[in-house]
Amino acid sequence: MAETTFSFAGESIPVTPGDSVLTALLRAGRRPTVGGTLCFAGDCPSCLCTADGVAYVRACQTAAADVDQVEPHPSSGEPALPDWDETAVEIGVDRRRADVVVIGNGQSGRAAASAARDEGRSVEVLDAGDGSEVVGIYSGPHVVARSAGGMIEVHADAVIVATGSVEIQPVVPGSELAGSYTPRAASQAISAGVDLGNLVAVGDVAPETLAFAGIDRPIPGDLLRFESDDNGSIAAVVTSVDGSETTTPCDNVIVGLGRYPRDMLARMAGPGEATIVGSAADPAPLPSCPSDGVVCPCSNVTMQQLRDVHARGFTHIELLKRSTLAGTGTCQGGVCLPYLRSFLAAEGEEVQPSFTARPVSRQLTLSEIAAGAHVTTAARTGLDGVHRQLGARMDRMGGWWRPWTYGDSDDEYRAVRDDVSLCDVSTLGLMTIAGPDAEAALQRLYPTDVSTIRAGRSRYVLMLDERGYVFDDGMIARRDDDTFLLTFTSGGASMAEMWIRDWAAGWGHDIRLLNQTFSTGAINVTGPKATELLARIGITEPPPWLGHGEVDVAGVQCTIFRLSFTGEISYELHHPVERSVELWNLLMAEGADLGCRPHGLETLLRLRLEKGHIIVGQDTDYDSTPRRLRHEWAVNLRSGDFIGRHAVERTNRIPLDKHLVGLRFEGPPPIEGAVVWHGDTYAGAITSATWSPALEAGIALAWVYEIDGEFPSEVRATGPDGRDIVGTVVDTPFFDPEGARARA
Amino acid sequence: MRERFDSTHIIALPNALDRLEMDALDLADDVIPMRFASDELVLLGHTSAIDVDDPHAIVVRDGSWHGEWLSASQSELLLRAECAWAVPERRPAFAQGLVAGLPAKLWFEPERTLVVVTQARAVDFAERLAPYLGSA
Repeated sequence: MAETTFSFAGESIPVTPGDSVLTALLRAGRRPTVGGTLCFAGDCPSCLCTADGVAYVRACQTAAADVDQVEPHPSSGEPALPDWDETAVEIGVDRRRADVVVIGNGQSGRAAASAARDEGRSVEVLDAGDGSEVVGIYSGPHVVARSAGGMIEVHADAVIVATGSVEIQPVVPGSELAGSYTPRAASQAISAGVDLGNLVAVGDVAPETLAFAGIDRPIPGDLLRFESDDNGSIAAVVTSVDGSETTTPCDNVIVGLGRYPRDMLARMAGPGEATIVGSAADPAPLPSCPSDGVVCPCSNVTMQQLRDVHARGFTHIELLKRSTLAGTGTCQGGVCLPYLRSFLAAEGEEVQPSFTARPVSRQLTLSEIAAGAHVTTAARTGLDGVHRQLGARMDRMGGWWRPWTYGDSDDEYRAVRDDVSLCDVSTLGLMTIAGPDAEAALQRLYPTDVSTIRAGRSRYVLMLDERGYVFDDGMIARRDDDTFLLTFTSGGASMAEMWIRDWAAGWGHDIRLLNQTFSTGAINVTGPKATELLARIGITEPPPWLGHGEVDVAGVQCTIFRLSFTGEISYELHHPVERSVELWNLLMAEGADLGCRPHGLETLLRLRLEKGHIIVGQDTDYDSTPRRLRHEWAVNLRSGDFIGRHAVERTNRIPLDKHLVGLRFEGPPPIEGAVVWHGDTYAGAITSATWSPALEAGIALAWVYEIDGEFPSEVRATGPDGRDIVGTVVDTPFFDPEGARARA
Repeated sequence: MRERFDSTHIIALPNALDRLEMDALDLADDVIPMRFASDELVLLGHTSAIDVDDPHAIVVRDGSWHGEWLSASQSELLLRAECAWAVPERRPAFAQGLVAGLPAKLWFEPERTLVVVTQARAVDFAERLAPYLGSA
């Protein structure tokens, strides 16, 4: 008496206790997929279905009582993507440690676990039958399994694979038809009360299986093919004895072709990381090479396709796999792997081992894949809360949350140009380098003569790689003979730290390097009234242009730099990050009647573009030399053997093929990334663009290529309204080229 | 994160830090030595002036660390779900790596664990830590 039901393609399917989805369907005369031999062991792709919205579920491995709605797997193409489920529950990860993980709780698995326990080792046993289905072994080793309660991840010293063997499936013409069973599958189907009608057997089928199935003996001879009825099911088995064909009508057929080690998980493990025991460790047999038929039902690869690619020179099992995709589908070689080996052997190739396996061995849901994963966060400056309180629109840039605008970027721009403004520049990379070889190391790390930077002074610098390409920029500030402060781009500090450490260690330089990016905040005080604001907080003698020093602001110890990215008078106050809010509030309060208000990134990017300052990563490309960037002035070829020097010298000798130029448009500029043309010839692309309030024009930086022996002086691009606009190549800085305002 | 820590951040020759770390372990009750690297030591907690046997050492005050003390059960729950690497079994012990997807420093004592992140990650880490703070 059926206790419950599930829906299958709109039909109610009765379920009896202990049913899998597959046995319930077969008993009702239905199949989840079109055809193929059933194994009842999760090794083949012949019983896939969509259960409660999850596709690629093996019906034989799924308890019928656990599902409400089952849909057949499509006969061709992929299952429909599920609807977005906002109520989906997040899946967690249970991380465990064990001396030994045993995969498989069969006879050999239990024996291995027992032996390990006897040695006093902690043991974790994972078995699909017990609800923990291992889906991968990763380097470590660590073993990942899925369970009803979530994902399980076990770190172990040793892994024992005791996963038994798979039954070899037939590959003959018609093997894709419905109605064939492996011996184990037939026994389980009969036990579950599935009516297999006129059932016959072929091949090597154990006597007890035959007796259980009520079959006297297998059909003699070799299996040649299956013949079909009008419904895509097997109607007859054709065998051959001494060249003579025999056709045996049937409804279903048991096909016994022997077993093959189920060692996929062991093949995922790194060398020495897994031990195979039991029948999973048996030698892999070579079944007879099929003459025809679908060898890989997952990827629908035929024997003829194997012959074709072999004839083209794909003679290794890994190449066969990659060229045809056999073995890359749902069952990961459960059906085809034995035949790929026997095919190659039959073609005269050396007998080859099974192809490699990689996690995961089972289709996982997106929730399972995402289990334990977190969204990558952006770092927050010490002023993050202040920006949000001020209503700033926050955005992520360079790995940090940054205020894009506080609401009115035009007003923010005017604050910088006319009054005084604050900008949170805590995202800049900052390091201290010290030691007897600090100067020598910097001399080789940067293309500048560091020895000429006096204590209290600083210099803009590029960082070049060995190919002479620019990968970062910043400032070097000398504190004393053997101590320097270094700044880097936002998000560039981690890479730069490794770069410096690696090179210095290689050179044997005696240095100390401290990355203070996360422990230091920085506020840029900028605008014509910046000096006055500093005076109000007690800094009456600020450093000169490109100078720096130490100051105490109401008990907050700051390193102050005088430089400018905005084109106006600017002072950066670097300070302990836990004091950022205090310092910000003090500056805002003291500057209130000076018109002090903060500006965000949108304004900063506009200001810097008016000055023609590049942003590494935005205006540079993977192959940007100082010369292409028109930053030769930042490279001192007399300063010694710096990284990238030889590449710079070499590339300086070859004709320049492209360079970064300033463009001026008499109207709004094109969008960043827009292609620029010279006539009908591709001429480059816009890297940065903005409307310049100071110039009342559109301005941009762009890569422009040499065309017919010269660089264009005008280029064409598509404007924001979709019409062509013309940009004139002009010198940079666009605004205040002498830098009078910044140095005032 | 409920607590912000003062610390002394030191970059110095490894031998000099070896001696300093041992002194901190032996002498200080509330100062936790966290050895980030062979040449990098953070003494978490308030310290007087630190005398490092390295004339070129960089020694700075660093108040950017935020942390939370966890009970043994809270720690076990957190690490079981959010730590993909093997933590040390000896006590006391220092370890560092990704916890809940963020770079964290861990100090293990017999009955409790301190988890510390830099200020830039504190808000996000606190959100990810919250589900594990329920069980004392």
